[in-house]
Amino acid sequence: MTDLVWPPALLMLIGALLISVLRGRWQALLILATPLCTLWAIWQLGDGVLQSAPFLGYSLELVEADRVRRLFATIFALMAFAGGLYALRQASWYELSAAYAYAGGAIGVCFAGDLISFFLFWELMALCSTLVIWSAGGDAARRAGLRYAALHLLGGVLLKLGIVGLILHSGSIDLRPLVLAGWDSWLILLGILINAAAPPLAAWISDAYPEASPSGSVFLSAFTTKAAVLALILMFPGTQLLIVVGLVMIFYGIIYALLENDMRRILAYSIVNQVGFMLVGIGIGTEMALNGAAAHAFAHIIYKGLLFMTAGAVLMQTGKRRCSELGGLYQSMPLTTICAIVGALAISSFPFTSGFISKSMIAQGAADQHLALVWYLLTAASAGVFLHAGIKFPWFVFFQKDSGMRPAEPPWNMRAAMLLMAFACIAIGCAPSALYALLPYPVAYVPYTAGHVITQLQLLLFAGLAFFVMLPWMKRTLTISLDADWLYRVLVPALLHAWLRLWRHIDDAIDGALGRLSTLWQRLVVAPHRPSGWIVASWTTGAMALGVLLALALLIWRHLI
Amino acid sequence: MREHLPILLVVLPMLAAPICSMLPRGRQAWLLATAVSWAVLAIAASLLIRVHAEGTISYALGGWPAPIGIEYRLDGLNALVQVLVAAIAACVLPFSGRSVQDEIDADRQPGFFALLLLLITGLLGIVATGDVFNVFVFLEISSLATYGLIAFGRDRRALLAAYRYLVLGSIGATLYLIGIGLLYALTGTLNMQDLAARLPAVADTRTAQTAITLVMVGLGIKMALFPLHLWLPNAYRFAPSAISAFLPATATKVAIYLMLRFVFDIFGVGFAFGRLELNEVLLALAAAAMLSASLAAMQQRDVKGILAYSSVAQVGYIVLGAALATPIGLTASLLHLFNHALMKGALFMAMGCVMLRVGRTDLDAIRGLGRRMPWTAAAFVVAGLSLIGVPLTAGFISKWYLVLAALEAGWWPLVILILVASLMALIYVWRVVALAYFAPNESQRREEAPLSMLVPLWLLVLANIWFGIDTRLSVAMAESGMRVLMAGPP
Amino acid sequence: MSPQLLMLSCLCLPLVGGGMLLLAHRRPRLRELILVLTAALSFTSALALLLQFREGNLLRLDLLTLLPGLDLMFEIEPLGALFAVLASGLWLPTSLYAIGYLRARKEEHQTRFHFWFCVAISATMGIAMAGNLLTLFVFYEVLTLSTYPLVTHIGNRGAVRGGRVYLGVLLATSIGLLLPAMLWTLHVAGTLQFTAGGILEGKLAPALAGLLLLMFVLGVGKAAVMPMHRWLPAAMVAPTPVSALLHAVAVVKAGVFTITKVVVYIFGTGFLGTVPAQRYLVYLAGFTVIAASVVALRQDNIKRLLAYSTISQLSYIVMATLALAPLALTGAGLHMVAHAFGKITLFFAAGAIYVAAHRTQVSELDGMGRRMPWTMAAFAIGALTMIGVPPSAGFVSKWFIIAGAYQADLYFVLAVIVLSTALNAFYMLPILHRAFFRAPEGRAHGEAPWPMRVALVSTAAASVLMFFFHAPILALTRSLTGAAP
Repeated sequence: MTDLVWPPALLMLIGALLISVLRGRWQALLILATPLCTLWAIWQLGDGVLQSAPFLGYSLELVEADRVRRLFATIFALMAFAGGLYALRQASWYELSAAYAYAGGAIGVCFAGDLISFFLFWELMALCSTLVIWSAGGDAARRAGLRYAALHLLGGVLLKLGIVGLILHSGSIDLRPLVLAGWDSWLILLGILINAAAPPLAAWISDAYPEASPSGSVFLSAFTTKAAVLALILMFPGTQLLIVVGLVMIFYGIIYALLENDMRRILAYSIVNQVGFMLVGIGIGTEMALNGAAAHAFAHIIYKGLLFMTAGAVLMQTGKRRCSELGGLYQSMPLTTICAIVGALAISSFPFTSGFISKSMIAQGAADQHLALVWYLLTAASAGVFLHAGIKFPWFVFFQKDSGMRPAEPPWNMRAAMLLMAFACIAIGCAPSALYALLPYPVAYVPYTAGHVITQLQLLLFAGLAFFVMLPWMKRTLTISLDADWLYRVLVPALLHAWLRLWRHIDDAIDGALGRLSTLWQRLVVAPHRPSGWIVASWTTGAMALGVLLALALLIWRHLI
Repeated sequence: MREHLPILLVVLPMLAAPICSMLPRGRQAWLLATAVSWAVLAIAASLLIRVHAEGTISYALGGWPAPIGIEYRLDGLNALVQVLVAAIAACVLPFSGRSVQDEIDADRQPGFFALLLLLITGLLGIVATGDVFNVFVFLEISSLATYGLIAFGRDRRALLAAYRYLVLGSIGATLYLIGIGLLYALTGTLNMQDLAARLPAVADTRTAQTAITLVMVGLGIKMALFPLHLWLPNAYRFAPSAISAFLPATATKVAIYLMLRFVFDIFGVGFAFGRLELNEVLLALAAAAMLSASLAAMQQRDVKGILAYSSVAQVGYIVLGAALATPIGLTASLLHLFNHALMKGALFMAMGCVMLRVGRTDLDAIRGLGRRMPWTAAAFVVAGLSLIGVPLTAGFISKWYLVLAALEAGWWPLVILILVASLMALIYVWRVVALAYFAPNESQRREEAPLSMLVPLWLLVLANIWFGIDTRLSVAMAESGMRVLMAGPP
Repeated sequence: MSPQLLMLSCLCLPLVGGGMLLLAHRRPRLRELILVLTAALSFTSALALLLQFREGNLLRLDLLTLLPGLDLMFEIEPLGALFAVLASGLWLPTSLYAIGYLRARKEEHQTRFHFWFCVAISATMGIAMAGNLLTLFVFYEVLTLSTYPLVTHIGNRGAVRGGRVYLGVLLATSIGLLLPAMLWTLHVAGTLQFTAGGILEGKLAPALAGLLLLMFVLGVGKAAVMPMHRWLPAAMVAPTPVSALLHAVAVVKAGVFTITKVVVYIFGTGFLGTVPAQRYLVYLAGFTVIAASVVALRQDNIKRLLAYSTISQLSYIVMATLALAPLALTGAGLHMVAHAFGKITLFFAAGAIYVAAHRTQVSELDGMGRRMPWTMAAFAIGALTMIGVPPSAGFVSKWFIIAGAYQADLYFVLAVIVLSTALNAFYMLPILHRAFFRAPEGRAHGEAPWPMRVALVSTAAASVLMFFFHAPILALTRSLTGAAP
């Protein structure tokens, strides 16, 4: 134990608790102040283990700080602030409370110095995020939330199994880089990858996030997957497997986003895609690549939050969520449109936006290691990102055909939140050194070289051209694309029903067999012993006497033979 | 005086019986009988103490020594059985006062008590005597008294039941008589000890074997060994309450004692069990008794019927232990003989109370008994638990020994048999208890039995608990009886 | 107070209290005061006993000797001390709850109810302190019999039918299997004394030991390992306070407690490790965990759902015990406590809903979280305990069970835990969603009476507190096996 430190996660959790109690102006104040206080506390933390507590017979390191942990905690706190501002007037108190506790869990994960406290905060996130989804109300949200919770608790248990095994086998609870060897580390990786939305267990993200409320999906987009990214940075840096996983995620995200019609599902798939970039960076594992992954996470939270905010604004103002039903909204929602475009440019790594300076670090990391194939794929994927998120989302929602709707701009607090995020996107893009200074390792990378900028612009240009050429095929009708989630949406329930039927059959069979047996028993054994049965009913005196003599004869005969 | 106690024990009730019958009022007869029964108990107890202190007591009737005269011979075994009979009598007689008043016409009451005293005489005589023909005489005295007593029952069916018992009992007595007649022809003696000494010489003859078979079947009827029990259920059911409390606790027990005496002390285990393999027959019959009678008890609609069939099953337990012919088995058998008398006496007494207040003992009469007659119902529950063999009751101890004996002999199936039968006992006792306590009933009026009945009832109930917790006395008695039997023929 | 006196008072206090209740039959207030005081005193003496035990005093009480080598005697060991404190500790809120429940429902025969409750608690204390198998068996049966009047308290046809199944299964298993197993043990080992390291080692061939273990596991019907589980759903006809304390804590825990005692002190974990059949029993318990959860999925009646959940959770404990690893035993001990806190809370909540809203089905719980926030918050904590997520006690115990499975190299157990967690989530979470995220329907109503609310909030708090402060319980369960951390 060291001097008094304010555990940032605790501040956030206290805030969440108070939000659920207070109402009105005090509540609003608390919503805005809590993340800022937390942010302050985060920057008060020096490096090293700062707070420990006994638990399960071990000494937990509840707060351990270093550069990369602080970086993630910072962006989580900022995101909580922006989300709180965005949700200030519209969301219910329980959604906000849950969301803040969710953020608290994420921040707790950031500073967890050992595997046990890491897991505790991890589970807190899973529970609170479920509540955030449910807060949307309605049956779709209920079912999506349930599936989400079950999958995450499953992931949590796998993680728990891995952690317990690791602690038992290694004797140490320290959160540390691991080597993929043995069940334990594989289970841990699996548990984390479920939260990182790695296929084939990625479907929860496109299943659950679009069912949350407008503000709910803003919170959701920020924490779960990025906490997983941080966990991978801390525990599995340089694990080659992650490169493959990351690449699969990148293309999985692009393809499904292109096929998708629901605007928030597009963005959800886009998260998979973006997290894939980060995983590739972690998999490469050099300082440059890890820096890139961290920076990209930071940037991504901001622009993805922004995109979800604009989508949420549209949803709230129109009540429509499908691209095929939207269009032409730029006329009445210019500010939202501009913000959406900024976000779209940022996600497409347009120069002078945040995506440009972060994603290119990952590609550079690949190049430094002479991973040519990876580099090519990353580059090709950048074009794909532009297609689905950079152009498709703003085009179909705000331009395209005129849907005839003229919704108003969202309320001031939403606008303020969007402007804040848009500003952050551009500010980071223009002045990358501020972000670079926060990164875990010293940065000797200059994004704005002529060659880089021109290459990127060319790429985006051709991608844009391709989009409009292929526009007729891009228009989506009302379809739902098949994903791995049919596994648990269809197959598991079907199996469960089959099992239940089988169970009932077995039950019936046993009951039937028992019934037949008992009938037989009744007829042959029990019935004769009834008061009227032949064994019990009054015998005539003569019969009794005869019986006795018979018994006697039998016995004597037995002896005499 | 002191040396004449053995005969006094038998003579006292015998002499009291005619006096009793001549008394004008039932009340007076009852008082006399009760006083006699207490005196008998005191004598029996003093004899038991003496046997334990000084060893076997031999008393030559009329001063004629053994081979010629009749010898009364008291050892650790029959002194115990005598005390048992006397104790049950001493409990039942005070209890019978109210119930007899209620169930039997006033002018017939003196006769009833006279018969009861004769019954006691017969039973005590069977136990005390060392002469097989004398046994027959007392057997007939007790049987005749029993037939008469059963016929006192209020139900018309009592008469038929008594008649049936008369027929079967006479057959049994006759078989016994033929048996000992054959033995006398072979050996020329009726004294038990002499018989035992002379039998081995003629053991190989068919006559001897036939004689044994006859004696065993005759006794089998008396002790209601399955399947020779057919007379018993109705006899117990329709007899007056006092008699159905007295008979199961004593009459069958005395018959069992007699069988034990014959098998172990006269024929010898080696002969009866080893050569004739009677133990196999007994085991099979005991097992059948436990299962079949329990099954029947489970389905009876009259509580006295349940208890009667349960008695048949319990005879199975006792015979089972004896048939194992091991020290523990015999101890178990004797313990159960003793304990079962306690529990069955208490249970039938409880039914006597019900009979007094409700007038019938079918299951419907039991409804809500827990509220109407709390003490009676509680007594039934405790004695019922003892019957099931729940720990802290006497029943547990004897069953425990029985199980140990079976285990020791390596007879696993017997252990299961005992447990299954206990489970069935649980079911038939539970049926009554559930009705008494958990069935809704219309009448909530309290109508508890009078103290004169409750006190003897609870004496027996407490004995059930006492001998379930402090086992030193009962186990020591049973073991001393066992040693007598295991010692075999002289 | 001398330790022996203390043990005697643990055993007899509830009985004395019960007797006084009967005397105070006509004065409800006095009667309830006696009840609460008795519960408090019992808890105090159990706690004092625990403290004495932790000081290292030898706590042994020879009550009676029935026959030579066959005596009723008590001896405290870690698990028993824990169980005694748990049962008497939870009796206190339960008695409060029962008072509120019976009054609000205007039940008849309240004195009778409280009296049998006292007897059942006394029997539970006897089980917890039993020093040999015979003593344990005796009190096991007393517990069965004394709970029957409670199960059938309502007295209608359904109650009698449920009671028949209850009594039938419990007595048939205990007399038909447990008693023979006990006799066999006595025959082989010559004693029934609970002895550290077991009494059977070297006296029984492993194959036969497997059979004996099977007889014990199935014979202890109270542990509700399939196929001996049917009594538990049947017992749900009982008034809710009974379901809460007895069918979530005392009776069922007596079952798993018995199995644990048999495994640790009769067989001995060392000896049992050499018994091949022991694995199959782990599989049986695992199967029960999963199968009961699946059945729970399709239950709509809250109490039945909870009953199946109990069956599943009990087999967790049995499974952990049979895994034999020190950490698994620790987990089993912890789960006994954790599940007790969680499940009693759930039952309390179910009863509170019944009293306040007259609802018994899951499908009727829409918006209940708005109407009865305290009750449903407690329910939520109970549900989390069942799933085993922080911050609930279930997390702590499952942690050790997992660790124990690793120690024993039983990957089957791990798979069961994974699957059952998902299943638990699937049947618990929809209830929470219904209660908190749907609009209430029907006429408005408030919370249940205050004694009930106090009870359920305190047990829920206990579950959360155990998550944070489990060190004493952990130390106690660890000393059960002498396991290193």
